[in-house]
Amino acid sequence: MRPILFVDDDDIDVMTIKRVIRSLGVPNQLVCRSDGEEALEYLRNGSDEKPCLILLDLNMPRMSGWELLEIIITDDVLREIPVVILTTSNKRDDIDQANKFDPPIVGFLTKPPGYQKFVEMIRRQLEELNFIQLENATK
Amino acid sequence: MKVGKKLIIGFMIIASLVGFVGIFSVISHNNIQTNSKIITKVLELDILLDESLVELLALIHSENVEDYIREKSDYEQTRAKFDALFKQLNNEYTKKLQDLGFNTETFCKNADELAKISNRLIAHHKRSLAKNRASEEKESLEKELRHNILSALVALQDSALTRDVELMRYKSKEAIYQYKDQKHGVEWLDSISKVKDNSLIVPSQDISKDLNAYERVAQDLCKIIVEQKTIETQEHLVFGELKELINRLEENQAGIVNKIKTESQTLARNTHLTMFVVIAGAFLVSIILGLTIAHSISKPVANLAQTTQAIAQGDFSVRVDVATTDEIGELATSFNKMAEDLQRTTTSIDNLNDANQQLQAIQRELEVTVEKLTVANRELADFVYITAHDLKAPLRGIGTLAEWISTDYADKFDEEGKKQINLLIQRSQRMYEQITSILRYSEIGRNTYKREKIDLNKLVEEIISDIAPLENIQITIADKLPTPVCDKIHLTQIFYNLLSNAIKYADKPDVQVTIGCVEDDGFWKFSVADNGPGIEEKYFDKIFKIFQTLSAKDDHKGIGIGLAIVRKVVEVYGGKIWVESTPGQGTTFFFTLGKHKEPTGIETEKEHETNIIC
Repeated sequence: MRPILFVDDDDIDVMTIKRVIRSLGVPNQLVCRSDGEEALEYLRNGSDEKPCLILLDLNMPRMSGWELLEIIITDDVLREIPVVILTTSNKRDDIDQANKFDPPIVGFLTKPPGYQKFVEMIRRQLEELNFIQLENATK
Repeated sequence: MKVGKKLIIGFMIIASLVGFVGIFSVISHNNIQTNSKIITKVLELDILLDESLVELLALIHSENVEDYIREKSDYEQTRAKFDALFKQLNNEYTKKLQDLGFNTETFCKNADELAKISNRLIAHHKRSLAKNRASEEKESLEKELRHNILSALVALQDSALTRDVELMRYKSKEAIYQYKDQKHGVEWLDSISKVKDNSLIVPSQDISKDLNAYERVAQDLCKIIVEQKTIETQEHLVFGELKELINRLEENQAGIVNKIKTESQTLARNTHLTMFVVIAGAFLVSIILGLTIAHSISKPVANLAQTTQAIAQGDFSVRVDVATTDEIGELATSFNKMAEDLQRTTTSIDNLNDANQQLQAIQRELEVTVEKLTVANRELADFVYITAHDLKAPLRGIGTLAEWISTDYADKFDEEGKKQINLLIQRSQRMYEQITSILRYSEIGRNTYKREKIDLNKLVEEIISDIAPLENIQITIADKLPTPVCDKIHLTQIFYNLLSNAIKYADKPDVQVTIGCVEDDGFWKFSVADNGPGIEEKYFDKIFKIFQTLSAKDDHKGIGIGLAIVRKVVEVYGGKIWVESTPGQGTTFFFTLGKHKEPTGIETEKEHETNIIC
């Protein structure tokens, strides 16, 4: 089963997403990288299995989410992987720009305050993408 | 001189030139007419002269007295006409004829001489006629004589004389037949004397008497013949003279006619030439005159225009140099006076300009300051935005961790601990909301916005369905709403906040909210009215300020940002917002939107957002 790649530099967000994936009972392995460069390194490594989904933060040190996306869309293999943006920002500019990368962007999520809201948001997104069954989602 | 006067004088000069041309042409016409009259008269004179000569010849050749008398009368009549005409011509055109070289004296002399010669000729002819008559008488006499001689000769028959008498008779016969021939007459006389001398016998008394008579007749005849010859010679001479004279007269006349013709032609030519010269001259004079007048008018005007231009370019020291006394001169004088006034005024204007320049410098400084202030203000806004934005991530972390602690370690907390951790979660959530509000508020007027036609009827319906009001809440759209050109988010913010406020603070079991819109001059006036608790007038200003609410902090009804956002959005579109309320009965919020108003205070560049950390 192909892994899910989570790219974010915020430790608590990493903890949060791990907990969310676990609590939703998503069977896929979660691979975490803290910036665009690390993520690109992982994606281009031939020995690693390509992820089935990328959860991507936008504002990161070294290489931002947008910069990573610019590279991904030039790669015939990588641009086939669906991307969900997971960011603090709800700025319209970002939303507008996200529309330009459709595909591979399939979702745009603003990180909510509070864990329960976070769980609900991710669950809805994964359901939408047919990642998890409804019965799994209840727990 | 006035311009009008100049023009009038110019026209008068041209008119007089034209008049001169007219008079000249009339005079020329008269001269030509006179010449043609003289020519007519001289030609008439010529005809009369020719006529008189013909009549004179007819007179001279008249065969008998009757003819002679008639012809003489005709000739004299023609002569009288000729004389009268000549006299008239001489009297009327003496000077003209003299000018033409027609010597009237010579002509008169010649004419007189002609008359004299003619008279002489007539006299000769008269005499010749008389002689003819005489010779006829002689012939009858000679017939008688011959008869007598014949009868005498009968008596002399057979005598020696017979032969001589025969000869004499023959000769006399011949002489009489040809009495004009003197030779025959002389021969006849010779034969008579021969008869007389050679007579062998003494003739009888009768015969000698007859012979003598015969001789006398012959002698008379001879005399007549001689006289006739003389007359003929004289006539011949007179004719020669007459011919010469006639030639002279005719030459004179032809000369005059030719002269007059030449003169008339020259006169006509001269007239044409003179008329051409005069017309050309008049044309030239009018052109020169016109140009002079035009120049005398236009030069001062051009001068004036030049000066005006100089003054317009700022040289107030120039003056118009116009010395004419016409209207332009008066204008120039007034203009110079005005220029002086202007020069005086400009001095004070110069002072004013200095002050103005100082003012402009100050204004420039002010602009720089405003620019600096704008930048500082923007930086401050950016700072607020970025700070608020950056606070979001750690605050979210705190909230998440607090939640986890409260669930993961729930059994480790006593009641007090649970209460405290719940408060921590609540407060961090509230702070998060406040930060989000600040971001939303400061975003208005910061970002670039879309401008599109928004059908408010549809948008408000959408907002109402988002709010999902309870069954006891009745939201009515009273008027047909317009379709303004705005940013959809702005309109959503306005209606969402106003409607949700109305519902949030409702205190009656049956909640009535009414949305209205009326069109005013250049803008729409919207209203959102509720039947809620109402607001006291003293709070009318306060409610529109950020984080000002009329309820307690933990009332959870709001954090006091909604109306502040609404006001900011409305003001960005150049509109106004105000409230009317009766406490206990309800509140109505009014706001206006300009129909063609461009949103202000909205930055169109993104350069200030680059530092924002998401």
